[in-house]
Amino acid sequence: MVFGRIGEVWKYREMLWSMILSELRTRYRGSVLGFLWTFINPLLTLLVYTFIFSKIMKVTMPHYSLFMFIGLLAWNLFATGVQASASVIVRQGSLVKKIYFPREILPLSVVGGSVINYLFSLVILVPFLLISGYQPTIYWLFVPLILLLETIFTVGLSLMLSSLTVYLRDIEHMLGIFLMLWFYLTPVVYSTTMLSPNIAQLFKLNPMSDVVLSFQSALYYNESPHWKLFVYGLVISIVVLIFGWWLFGLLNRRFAEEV
Amino acid sequence: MTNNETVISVQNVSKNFRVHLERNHTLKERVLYAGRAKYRDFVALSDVSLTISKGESVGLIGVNGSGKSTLLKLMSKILYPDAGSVTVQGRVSSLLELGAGFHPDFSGRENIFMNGALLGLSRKEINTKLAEIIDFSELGDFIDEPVRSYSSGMYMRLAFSVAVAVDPEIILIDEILAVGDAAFQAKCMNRLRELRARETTIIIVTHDTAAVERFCDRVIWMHDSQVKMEGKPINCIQAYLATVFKASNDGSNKMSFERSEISAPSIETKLIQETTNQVHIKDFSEESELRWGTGDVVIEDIKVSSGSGSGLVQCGEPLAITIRFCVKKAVKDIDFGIGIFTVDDMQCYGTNTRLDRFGEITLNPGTDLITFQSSNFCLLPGSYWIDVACSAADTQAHDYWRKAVQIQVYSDKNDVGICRVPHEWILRDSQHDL
Repeated sequence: MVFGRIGEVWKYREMLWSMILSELRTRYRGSVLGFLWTFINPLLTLLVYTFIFSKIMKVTMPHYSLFMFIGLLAWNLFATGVQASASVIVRQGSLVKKIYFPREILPLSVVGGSVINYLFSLVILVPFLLISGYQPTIYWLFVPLILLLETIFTVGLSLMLSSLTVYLRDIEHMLGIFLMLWFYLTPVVYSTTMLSPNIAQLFKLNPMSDVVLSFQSALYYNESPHWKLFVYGLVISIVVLIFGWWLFGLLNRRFAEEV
Repeated sequence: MTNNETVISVQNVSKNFRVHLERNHTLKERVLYAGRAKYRDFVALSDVSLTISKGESVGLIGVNGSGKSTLLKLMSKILYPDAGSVTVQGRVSSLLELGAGFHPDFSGRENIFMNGALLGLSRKEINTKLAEIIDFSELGDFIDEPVRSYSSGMYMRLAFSVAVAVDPEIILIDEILAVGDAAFQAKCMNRLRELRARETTIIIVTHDTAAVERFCDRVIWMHDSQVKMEGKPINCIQAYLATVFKASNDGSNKMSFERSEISAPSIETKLIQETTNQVHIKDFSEESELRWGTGDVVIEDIKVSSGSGSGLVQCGEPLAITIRFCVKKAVKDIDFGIGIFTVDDMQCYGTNTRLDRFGEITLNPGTDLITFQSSNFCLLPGSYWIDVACSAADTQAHDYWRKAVQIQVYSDKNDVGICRVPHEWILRDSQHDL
């Protein structure tokens, strides 16, 4: 069933692309700086964290703001993607009721927008790496692979949540708190070396930990990601994707009546 | 124009909607009322089967809530059937609502691309058609303005222009023929005719029976979630209008969750034929600004009689308008008149006994009847209002009744205009006569 759905989505790739574009373009429409905000946002975030952690809190970890920024960008992709897609079918109810298209397009376009936003933020991250004294290494080539892993996981979860939210609107509100908890269970602001080894092992069951740790390996520690961790994350992500898509296929039949 | 290749096949389809009495959307309610969901089923379609062949133009008619739009949404895969199957072969463009998916902040041009993508067009295809679309919409300089600054008419123009630019194999249309001004409407109909000539299968849901009659090869009449009748437009529309107007006069058109048990087609259709084919509309007690006069003569009742049914007249058939009136005070040299108006208040015909040189009418108190009789009622299909009046010689009205009765005219021919001029065609046979 899932493969049939993928074929259908492929037929509507033009629409997917157009939805992603309008999503990106509407986000900052009407503001004076417009599209520049896509870059200003991560830049300001970076400046705030650098200021707090190296001037006020004096964290001993070298290049701590860089460490945190790498994890934060990866986390933001995931969190904004999941949060925005949870409500996307209800928000786009007028389309769902009036026009046929594979409904997967809606959560996919939201996640697609998040991925593209991540790519734009690399425009800030890469110069910052260079300024901090990092040289481009072969390990940077892992970044697209890790990004793919994260996208698969995010899409899977988004498909699941977006279809469930149509029937159970609470999810949208619970999700904010749930994501905050998840954020602190993911080694974004701290390193797993600060945890006791047992707990660190436990934390690695969380696929988002695998994603963030892999990004940190490739960009911060200049090493190849731990392949066991990566493969584990990939397997979990694919399982989540297939289950999410299956659930979506099941629930999507009554969307037009329920939104 | 049609061949036998089936493109849409609907097999024993049923569809129920849950009508939530109290929506249990939140977790609390779901937990508290688990298993006691407060909804009842509304039957939108029950065991409907039909097939549509390639190149056919089919009109779906029926009263509100009869299941037409549900059927169309099932064909366009927006809804899924609860039972049965719907198979559709070919590229479908469904115009269920014009401008769904327009983004108000973007310009008309940008929206063409976005809307085109929604209808399944690639960027390349839209690029090749862009000039044609903009041209068709006649929006001119406005095309680069944000859509939110458009008037609703302009909005419709843009939406329809994109929608018809898609070259679909099957086009599903729901109540959108009334777009823009008259000129633009004509343009839209022409575009649909072009599509039809290209073997496009067209399915229209509409209440505009005149348009259906002119445009469609076949009509499917939906009633109480079932196909009540299908076949030639003229037959279906006549039966449909007769039923609807009869029900309306009986006041039994109220919508209900429950479907009437006795919806077997034959019963009602027979009933219509057995009834006296007459309408009695409005009591005398209903005074309004549509009525004025001295009251010396009071029109009590108006009956429209024809061969077709209540309030229905076939173009070219006989029609009689019988006025029952009561004379309160003896009157001398009065006249009776009628006027026939289109729904948009254009007078098609008006006359009275004086103009027709019927002779002087002088009446004593009492009740009497006068009948306007036409052996060939020649107005073309549409809805018409009839005014009746009784006036004195000095044109002072005794009783003037605006919009006293409404009639529906239908026809089995597709001639155009306001009325059918009595005529025949003669081809001189040159072989013999020269």
